[in-house]
Amino acid sequence: MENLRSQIKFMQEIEAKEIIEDATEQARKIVKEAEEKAAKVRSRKTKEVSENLLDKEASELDSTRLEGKRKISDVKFQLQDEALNLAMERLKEISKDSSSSYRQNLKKSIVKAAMKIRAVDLEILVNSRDCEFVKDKIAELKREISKLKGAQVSLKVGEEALNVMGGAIVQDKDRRQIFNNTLEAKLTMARQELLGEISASLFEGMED
Amino acid sequence: MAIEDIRRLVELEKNGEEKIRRAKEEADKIMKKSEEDALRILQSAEDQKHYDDVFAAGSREINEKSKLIERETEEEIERIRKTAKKNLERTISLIVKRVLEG
Repeated sequence: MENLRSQIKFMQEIEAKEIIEDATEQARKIVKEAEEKAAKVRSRKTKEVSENLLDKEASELDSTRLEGKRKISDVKFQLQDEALNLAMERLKEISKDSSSSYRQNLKKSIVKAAMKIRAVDLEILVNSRDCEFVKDKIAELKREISKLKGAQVSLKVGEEALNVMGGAIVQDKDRRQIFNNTLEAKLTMARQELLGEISASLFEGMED
Repeated sequence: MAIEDIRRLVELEKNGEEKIRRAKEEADKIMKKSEEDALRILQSAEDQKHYDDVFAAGSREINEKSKLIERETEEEIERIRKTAKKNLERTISLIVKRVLEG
């Protein structure tokens, strides 16, 4: 009898233990599954956040860099413009000084302009300040231009005085061909053609 | 089998049932706790605030980088201005020379 009771008791304990063990195992599986799902969710969400941050970084930093480049470009342009404006002031001063190299260059400007015109009957237009000087040099200019053109040219100083700081306009008698070699025209040309050279000179020594 | 023996067996059976009932109760508790744990684990993973915090921290870093680029740009502009100031006279002379020669 005692043996039967022991057996029954043992079986009851086994059953109770199994119930607990089954529940514990099932609980472990539930938690494990949840952890696996959570890991996937974390991975997906972390990836989303990383991608969003990368997009934001690319967009914002690109925009900041672009804005920086624009600012640098604006400053360089402004500094080049200042240099050109100061050069124009300097040219105004030089053109007023009859003893300067300006007069020598004026002759060269006239010759150069004359050589750009195919006609031989030419008229020179200058400002009122340079008018007398050019008239004084007209024979010399005529000789030089004729020599260079290989043909006798007719050269005269126009009646009309130009309102320019210096330089000359040379045109044929019919005003069909005109070459503007005034300081203003050359400065405008310089703004377009010498910008690379001006930039290289102005910013020489900058580390790229 | 004596009556006393039967009574003791019945008693034993009752005790056994009680043990099983308590074990089931315990098992229910274990299951309930695991379900709560699982829910908490998933909620923690889904918690948007955490990702918002990560995004905000990343955004602050981006902002710092952006400010650094802006500072570098300002420094670059300062260097450009200094260089241009140093080279200004020479550049004016170059322009004047080119214009007069042109």
